Order: sequence, then C-alpha cells, then structure tokens
Amino acid sequence: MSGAGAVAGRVLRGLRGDRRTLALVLVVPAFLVYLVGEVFPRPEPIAPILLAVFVFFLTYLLTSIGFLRERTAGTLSRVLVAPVSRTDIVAGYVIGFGVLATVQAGVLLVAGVVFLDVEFTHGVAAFVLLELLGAATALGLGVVLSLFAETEFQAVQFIPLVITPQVILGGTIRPVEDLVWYLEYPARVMPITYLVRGMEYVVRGEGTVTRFWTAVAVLTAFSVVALAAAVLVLDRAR
Amino acid sequence: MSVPDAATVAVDGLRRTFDDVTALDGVDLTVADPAIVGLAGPNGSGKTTLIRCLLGLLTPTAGTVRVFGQPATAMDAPTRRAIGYMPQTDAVYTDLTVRENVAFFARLYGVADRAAAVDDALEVVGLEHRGSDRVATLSGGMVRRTSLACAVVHDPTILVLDEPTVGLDPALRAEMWDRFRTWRSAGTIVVLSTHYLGEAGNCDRVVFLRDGHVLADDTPDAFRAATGADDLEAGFLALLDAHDRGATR
Repeated sequence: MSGAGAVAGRVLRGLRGDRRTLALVLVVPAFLVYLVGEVFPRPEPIAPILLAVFVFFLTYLLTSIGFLRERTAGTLSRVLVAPVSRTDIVAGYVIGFGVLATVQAGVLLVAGVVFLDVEFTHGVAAFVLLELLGAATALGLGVVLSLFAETEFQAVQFIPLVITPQVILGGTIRPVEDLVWYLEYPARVMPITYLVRGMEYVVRGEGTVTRFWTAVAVLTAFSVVALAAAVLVLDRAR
Repeated sequence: MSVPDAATVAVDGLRRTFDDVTALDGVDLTVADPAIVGLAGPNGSGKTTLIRCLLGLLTPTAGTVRVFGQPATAMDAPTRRAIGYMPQTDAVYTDLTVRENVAFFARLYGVADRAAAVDDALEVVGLEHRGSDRVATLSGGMVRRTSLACAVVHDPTILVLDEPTVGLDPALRAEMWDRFRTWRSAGTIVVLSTHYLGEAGNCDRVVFLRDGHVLADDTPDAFRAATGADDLEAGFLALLDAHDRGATR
C-alpha cells in the first residue's frame, strides 16, 4: 500500500499548492450555506439536501478534472509504468480525497450549525459517514467519466448530464415515491437519492432507522461498484 | 547502474492497430547490451506507439514484446522497478515543487534512501538549486530536466525516453546527450525516440521507422557508409528514396 500512500500524499500536496481549489472546497460551501441561511426564513428543510449534494458535487468535479489532467499531462502513464497496482492508485485517490471530504464535512457541519440552525438529530458520526460514502461514489464516477472527456471543458459538460438530474429527482423537490414510475425507477438507482434520504434521517430525524441503514448499505454498494469500475477503466486510461 | 544477465528487450513481429490505422507492422527489435538505441523517423512513423508497447502501456495487436523475458503487459514489480520512463509530454505535476515531483516517483519506485536519491537525481540534471521551486514557475527546459530526474531517480537499468530533447535549445540538447552517454557507459540501456534525424547520429544504433515499418536498423557509421551521405538526415532521405523506388518497381 506504499503506492497508495504516495498517491494520496501527492493529491494532498497538490491541493496545498492550489489555493483557488482549496478556497472552492473549504470556503465556498460555507459561504453558500450562509447565503441560504440568509435568504430562507426556514432553511432547516433544505439543509439535508445542501449537506448531501455539496461534498458529492465537489468531489466529482475535483476527481474528474484531476484525473483528466493526469491522463492528458502524461503523469498517469508514468504512474502506470511504475511498480504500483491499479488498486493502489485508486486507493491513493480515495485516501487523498477522503481526507479532503472529511475536512469539507467538518466545514459544512459548522456552517450548518451556525447558519442553518441544524441540530444533527442522529449524531455527527453518521453525518460524516454519509459524506464519505457520497465522496467515494463521486470519486469513482469522476474517474470513470473523465475517460470520456478529452478536455476540462468536456469534463464539466457531464455535470448537467450526471449531477443535475440526480439533484432534481433524488427526493429534493418531491419524494421519490411520488414521482411518475418512469422517473421513480431511475431515481432509485441514483446515489444522491440515498444521500438525501440518509441526511434527512441524520439531520432532521425524518424516516426510520431501517431506512437510514438501507441508504448506508446502498451507498456502500455504489461506492464499491464505482471504485471497482475506476480500477478496471485505468487500463483504458493508458 | 548495473545490467542483470537477462537484461533484454525483445520485440518480435509486433503489430499494433488503432481501429483502421496500422501504427506498427512486423516490427522486430532486440537489445541485449548497454547501448543508446535511437528510434528515429518522421512524425507518425510509430515511435511513440513502439515505446508504449515496450512499457506495457499498449497491448500488441499481434506479435510479442518482452522485457527481461516477461511480456511487457504483465511485468512483475522488480521488472517494472528496472525501467525508467520519460514521456513525450512534460508529465510532471505543475502544482508541486521540483523536489516533491522527484520524491513522489522515488516513493512509487520504493527507493530506500529517498532523500539522497532525490538529491543525486537533481544534481545529475543540474536542478539542485531549484528543488523548492514549483514546476509551474520553471522554464520549458527546466521542466524537461525535472521530468528526466523523475525517470532516473530509482537508478533504472532500462531508460526509455520519448523525444527527450524536443523543445530544448542546442546547448541543453548537447548536455542531455552527454548524460545519456554517461548512463550508457555505466551499463544502462537507453532507448529513446527522436524525430530530429540528424540528432540520431549520437546513438550507438538507430532504428529508422516509417509508416510503422522498420526501414533500417544499424549503427550511424554503417548508415553513412551505405548511403554515402554525410549526415544521418541525408542518409535517411536516401534510404526513403531507395525504398520508394523499390516499392514502385
């Protein structure tokens, strides 16, 4: 796993030198939460949605563009020639962005409490767990989809296609169960649906504990599938 | 840099296609001893594809590529550790410092005394005083030298360099060639590609590629003698001419 440690260290060192990205990851979410708190007279109902979507969205954005850069700059080829397994490379990304997602979760936690009066009914640990599972899924998705882009602009073009429908259908505007069947079934295979469902339980105490653990189980499955797909597609990325 | 007995690069009947395009066809190449082997030819002749097949980054459509007797696409960790690779693109992290880049690759290759190895690599490429500079702030030549330091930090037995001197000024190019000769003399197999045909005269052996075929494989002196040309560029053009005339007959 020393290869994973090297890759994780490289990811984090790169972010340290990139202040704009650091601000995007750490300051912008808190600022947006503040704006929501100022604009909505009762922001609590939308708090779970904001907290669910931010980390997922930013992790997807950073990994898809970061991985695309690795591929187009030639560093990925170089890493693949080195005596490091594909699993180690993806594990390195998971550790690096996992650290970042944890810090982000901390920022959102504080912002949620300060600006949205969020109480985290079922504890902070469950909140962080959900954020990390969402980040792992977004990471795998970002790596896989970055293969279909040749430029950073093209990678960003996937956002309205991949992220936005999830945000619209994933229980943010109306419950998934109330959607027409041809929208309900796609919504049931979207990670954000389960992120929102889990957050509603953790943040506002909505739903049952069974519903929460089902969401955790489904998100874990999404993470495993997305990361396994990322390992498999690394061969194509060469 | 020492070469184990089994140090061999063996390419046999290599064919590689990309959809309808044949990038390499029937390429044979064997390198057993320390030497600077140049893969020369115009753009699109198949040099980079051959290099990527040697490194296991591309799977042959037909034929075999073996390094130390192992298929290039299934090399074990010790074999991979024996290879250093400098891609055609800069292939370094611009948001890291020079030292951080070299240290990253040292760690990937499991170098024992990392700090000393990084110091040595930086000294070899003449960047020992720029180690704490971010790569984004360096000139193009310094970025190429950083990339070279990343390729040699683990003291490889086979050094594969894709267009290592492209974009460099003549003085820096000459400096690079001096380094390649030093490594070759120390026992390293240096396989490099170049589309500067004149520059290929610095190699011990030149493999001329054209449209994915090996047009000729010999020493620069033998080329000059065979074609009667003063430099390799003229010699290569004479070869092409002879080849084309033979093809139209």
